Amino acid sequence: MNRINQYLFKETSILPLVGFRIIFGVLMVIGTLRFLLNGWVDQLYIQPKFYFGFIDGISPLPGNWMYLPFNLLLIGAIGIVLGAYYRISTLLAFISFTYIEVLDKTNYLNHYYFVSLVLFLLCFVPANVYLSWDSKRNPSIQKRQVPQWTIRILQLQLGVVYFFAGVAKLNPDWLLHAQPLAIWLQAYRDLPILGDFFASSWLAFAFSWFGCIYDLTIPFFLLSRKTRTYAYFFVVVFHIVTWSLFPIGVFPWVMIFSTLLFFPASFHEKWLTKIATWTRWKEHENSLTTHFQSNKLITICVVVYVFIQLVLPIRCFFQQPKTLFWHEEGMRFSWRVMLMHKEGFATFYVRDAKSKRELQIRNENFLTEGQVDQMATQPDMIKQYADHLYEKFNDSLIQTSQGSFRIQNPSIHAEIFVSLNGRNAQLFLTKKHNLHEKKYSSNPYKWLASYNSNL
Amino acid sequence: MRYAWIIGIVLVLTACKDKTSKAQDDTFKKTELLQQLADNYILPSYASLQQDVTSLATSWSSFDTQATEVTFDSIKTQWKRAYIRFQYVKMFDFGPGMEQNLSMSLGTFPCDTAAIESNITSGTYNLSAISNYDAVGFPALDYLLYKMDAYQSISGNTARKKYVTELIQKMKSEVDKTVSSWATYRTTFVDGTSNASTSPFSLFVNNYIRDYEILKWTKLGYPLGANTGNVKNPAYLEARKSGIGKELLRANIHALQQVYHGYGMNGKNGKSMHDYLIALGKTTTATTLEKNWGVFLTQIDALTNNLETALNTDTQKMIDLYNAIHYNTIALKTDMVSAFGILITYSDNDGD
Repeated sequence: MNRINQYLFKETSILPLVGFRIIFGVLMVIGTLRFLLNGWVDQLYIQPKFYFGFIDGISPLPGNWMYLPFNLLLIGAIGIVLGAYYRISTLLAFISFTYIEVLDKTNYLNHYYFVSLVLFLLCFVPANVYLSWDSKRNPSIQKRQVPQWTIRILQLQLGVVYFFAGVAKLNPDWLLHAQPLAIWLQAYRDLPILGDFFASSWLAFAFSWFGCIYDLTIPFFLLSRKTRTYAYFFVVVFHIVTWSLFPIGVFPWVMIFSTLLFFPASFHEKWLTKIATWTRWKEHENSLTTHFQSNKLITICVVVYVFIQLVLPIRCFFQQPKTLFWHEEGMRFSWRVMLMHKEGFATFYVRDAKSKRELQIRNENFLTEGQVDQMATQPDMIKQYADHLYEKFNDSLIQTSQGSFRIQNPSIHAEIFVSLNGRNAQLFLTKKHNLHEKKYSSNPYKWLASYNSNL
Repeated sequence: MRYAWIIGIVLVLTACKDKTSKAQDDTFKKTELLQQLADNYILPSYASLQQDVTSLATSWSSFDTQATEVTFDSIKTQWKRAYIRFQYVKMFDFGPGMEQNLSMSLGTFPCDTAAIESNITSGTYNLSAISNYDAVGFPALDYLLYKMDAYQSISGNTARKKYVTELIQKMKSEVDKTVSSWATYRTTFVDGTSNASTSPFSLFVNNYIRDYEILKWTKLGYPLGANTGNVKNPAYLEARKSGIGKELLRANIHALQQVYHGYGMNGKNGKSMHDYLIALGKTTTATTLEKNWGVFLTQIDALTNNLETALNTDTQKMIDLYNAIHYNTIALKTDMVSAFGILITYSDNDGD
């Protein structure tokens, strides 16, 4: 315990943390503006008639009010860049961002989860006590040093993303069949000169293996002073290649710039001094050195956080059956990025309890195209949609050419076929189950058809 | 570390050997598929549609000047020809076709006869308004030209004539604009080979699938009552007044088949989705699809000529056809689209 305390509260230069605050804040501003300018608020949070919420009771604000959290996020992000009203800004950014993310599973991305975690951590670290609006206004808060945990925990967070993304790649599809990269890379078969190469499985295998080894090892190479510069070169190349090949938005840039956190104070001093001159920020004379008292509460919180971050990504290894990509229980919040190409065809049926009359559902009448696409392959969303259909149709009147009839307490069925990583479609869910009756939590979705992994 | 590389190389070598045995063709280029499609199918088909709609406009104007049973019949013939031709291009609901919203404004059925009548009576209407999509296009003409006593009701009625004139004018102008836009869009189209959701190749494939699903629902599913507990709904049949629904259904399936195989409208065949599937080693999917197009056409041919009659007398045959088309979606949408690596969503994606 003592050694942990010593490690966590050892004083270290604040500069990497300040650099990270500014960089991450700027990326948040750009990311939010990009989201707004692409019209995605309307498309993803206003247009849909139904949302696959993570938490019951948390739903989108009505109509154009949905622009509010995005604007609050923007304000919070600007506050983070400037280090202005830092606690309020970080809290505002964290709450609005996380609120947006829990609204609809359709839009879940691992890198949004990463952003949420980083914003959460930023709420607790004193990244505003140097080179900031707050420390200009109130020079007495200035400090040139911070306890080491404030930087290490962010580095660990970055390392966790890479390392577990690497662990997730240790599976037969990725290593032995180069899937799904083979599918995605062959789509570049028309490139001049390189086209045939992209279409061949050689490149897919090279990418798969390189990607796996890169993810598993890069955090360690970034930590070591000797290898750091070379490692960073690989970071830049790796993320620029993925950015140019796959539609993963700002994520590559987030990683390229965030990993600068691994560089020492001497590196950050160069560019931060320029910013200090430019913003006429002056260092207070007696701000310089401090000794930090260890704090039990902080130690416990840090240990618990780290434990959660290490266990959450591997929770799927403790469950049966071992067909994670099929049932997806334990898939989210575990850095499983770019691992699956899953395509589903889902047909839902509403069957009246008494008359046994059956209605086939046209999904487009209830969901957006993107929602249909995501729902068709993810069991928890299938269940949510089935319950939604129950709500819609229970005690409703169906108009036909020969009068109308009433649906009472219907059973909800679905017949779903799914293709995974280049395999031909297999039955995913048989029509026999009444999904409305099935328990949501039944781990791991005993009602799914079993999976044949032969390729 | 060093061992990992050695193991890696060995595995790669063995796996690649396994891949080549599946006879993949890495040299297949999507741009050849798009070129074939554009030059030998899309452009000629739109040109024919333009010709047919122009003939429709001409025969209408000769009826307008001299209303006789003969000139009226010639309108109907031209209308039918153009309507069938339309089935061959409505799947291209992107680029120029999308700009004119051609698929919707020419093909929304069933038409709203009450809206049409009220438009005619009031004399004030905006045919381009979204609310009027089911009061225009080929389906509106089905009603206006084939309703009970259509000839009598049109020939002496200036308001009615004016409505038809403007309706045909609108159709012609939209087709004309689409044809002229395609002349410039062609280059963008044949170069648009990326798998991003907004690239022409993705737009084409996604709209192709969408047309297939629209066919399933609107031409068969709704009339059969798939969504209403199997209570049949003849009011939802396409071209119910003229009774050419079966020909339209057949043309639609035939069009999808032609495009799937890369058959040209002008007789020149070339690279196709079928070839792409084979190049990817997805021979099972390719054979299934190839076979099923033929099966559907045979099933359609076996139906009574008038779909409204067939709905009553050949119900089971129609249900069988509907189910066959429904289950073929697995090969067409799930297997084919995922093999092509096409993305559906417009926003970011990290493949999970």
